[in-house]
Amino acid sequence: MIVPEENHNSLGAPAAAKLLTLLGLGLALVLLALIASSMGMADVGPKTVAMCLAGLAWPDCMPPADIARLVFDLRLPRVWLAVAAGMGLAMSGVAVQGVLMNPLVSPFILGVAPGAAFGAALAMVLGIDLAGFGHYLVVGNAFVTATLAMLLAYGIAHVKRSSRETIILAGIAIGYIFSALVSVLKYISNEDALHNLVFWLMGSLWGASIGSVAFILPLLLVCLTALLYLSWDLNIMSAGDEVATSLGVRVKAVRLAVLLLSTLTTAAVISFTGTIGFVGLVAPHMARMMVGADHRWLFPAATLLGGLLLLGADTLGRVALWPVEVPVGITTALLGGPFFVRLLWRRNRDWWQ
Amino acid sequence: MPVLVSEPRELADIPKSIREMGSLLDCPGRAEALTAYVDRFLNLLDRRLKGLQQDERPRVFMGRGHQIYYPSFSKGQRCVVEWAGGRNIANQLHSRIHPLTPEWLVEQKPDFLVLTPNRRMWGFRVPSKKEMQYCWDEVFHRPGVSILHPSQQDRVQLMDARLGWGLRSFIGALYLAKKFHPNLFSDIDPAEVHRDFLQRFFKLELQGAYVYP
Repeated sequence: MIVPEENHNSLGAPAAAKLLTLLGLGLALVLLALIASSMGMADVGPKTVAMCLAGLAWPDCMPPADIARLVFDLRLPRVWLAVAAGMGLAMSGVAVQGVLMNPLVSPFILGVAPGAAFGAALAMVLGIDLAGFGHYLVVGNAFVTATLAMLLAYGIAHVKRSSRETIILAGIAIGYIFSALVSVLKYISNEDALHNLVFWLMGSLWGASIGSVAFILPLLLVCLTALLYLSWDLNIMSAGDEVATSLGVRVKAVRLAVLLLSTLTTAAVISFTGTIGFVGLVAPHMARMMVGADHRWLFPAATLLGGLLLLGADTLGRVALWPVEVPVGITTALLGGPFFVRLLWRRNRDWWQ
Repeated sequence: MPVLVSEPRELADIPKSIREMGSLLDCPGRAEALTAYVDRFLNLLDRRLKGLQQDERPRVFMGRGHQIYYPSFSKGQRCVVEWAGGRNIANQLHSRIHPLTPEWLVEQKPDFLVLTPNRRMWGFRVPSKKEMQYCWDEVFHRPGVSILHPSQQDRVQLMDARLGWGLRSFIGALYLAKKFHPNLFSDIDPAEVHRDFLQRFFKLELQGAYVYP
């Protein structure tokens, strides 16, 4: 059970420390974004990137067109997508772990990732367009089927008037069904489509564009605002459904809203990036170690950490083996896993409670 | 039991393989006719491209399938580019198995991007023009491609994988040679050669879109 330690109406010492943590994370994210946007094969350093950005306001500052195009078409969209995707996945992780009161849950365990993979595979292998997205065929399909998977899991649990555990188990079952369907499509696909699909399943940010960022970022901001609004309800729900109901929280409505917000964000992210599974599970735990379990602090802290983690992993995957690129799904797990184990090792109590 | 392993990896090996198969299947006359046909066009390519200097040969990136950030690891496909009078920029890479960062492609500034989609699923199905157009649009809108040739869209060429290796790779080389050196091959219509080849040796009609645009 969560027992808030500080006075909620004033910024006491614990609150100030948490605020400083958030500021530190924000600053680290800005710095890493600047470093990441100045790293690449082309000789375009931080000064040139800064001049490109300044050139938006003062056209005289703008570097030559080919350099500006490289910065605006390749570097910045990639950095922005990494940040937005990491933030979205981490935020969704906090939301589902909080609402289902289970530290092992992530949006992916609830069937969203296999659902998205099935939609993407339908597009790549059979060319089926579920959403009428035209050139964004894979993205549209992945978004539709990821949302469908989550709704199915929640629908089963809702119809049976079952517990949180049933939602998780229904999600796992739905996930297995979609995974099997993906395997069927892999089995019948040609070499070209199979290669495409395997690459997508590894997770990658090479397809970053202004369009993808423009789709994810507003959705992320809306969902984050809504989740922050519901964060106090989530805090109360961690004491149990009966207690929350007796305190006036509409438990079912909050649960459905939180799951929907988390699903929408995750589906939007992975439909552009492919499967990046680690951030949504680990960033919430890291944030919990830093700022505790109060969702009002946990959401912003995990969101910033998710952006940092994914941006760091993608930058490393992009530059470590030039000109070969390591898919970010691999680097995220390779970087984050040992770091997370180290954190676990150093803790002498269970931070989840 | 004697076993013949015939695996033509390069375009130049194909006539030898045809002769071996003709001898094995007891139809040397047919094999000779086929060899003569292929040789005719290989000699034509060789003759017309012989005098070209290195800097007259366009720099070409050949992708694997329609994955623009994966270089082709097929030796046959890379040979087709060279037979067509191009220079494959992926030859310098240590590894051709893994994906490349899009910035590498932008830095290399290739004159042409050639992708070899393999849309076969069952049997002898050939992709339609609409399918190839969709694939081309998808490729052209990937990050980095518009930086390379913002106003020259015909620099991104799709060619069905079946023209990149095996018996018909000489036709793939003809298509690419005409694209890379239009002045040298103004009198050659690769689609007509392809049609004639299919009719003459296989009694098949040329269908679908093997190249786009």
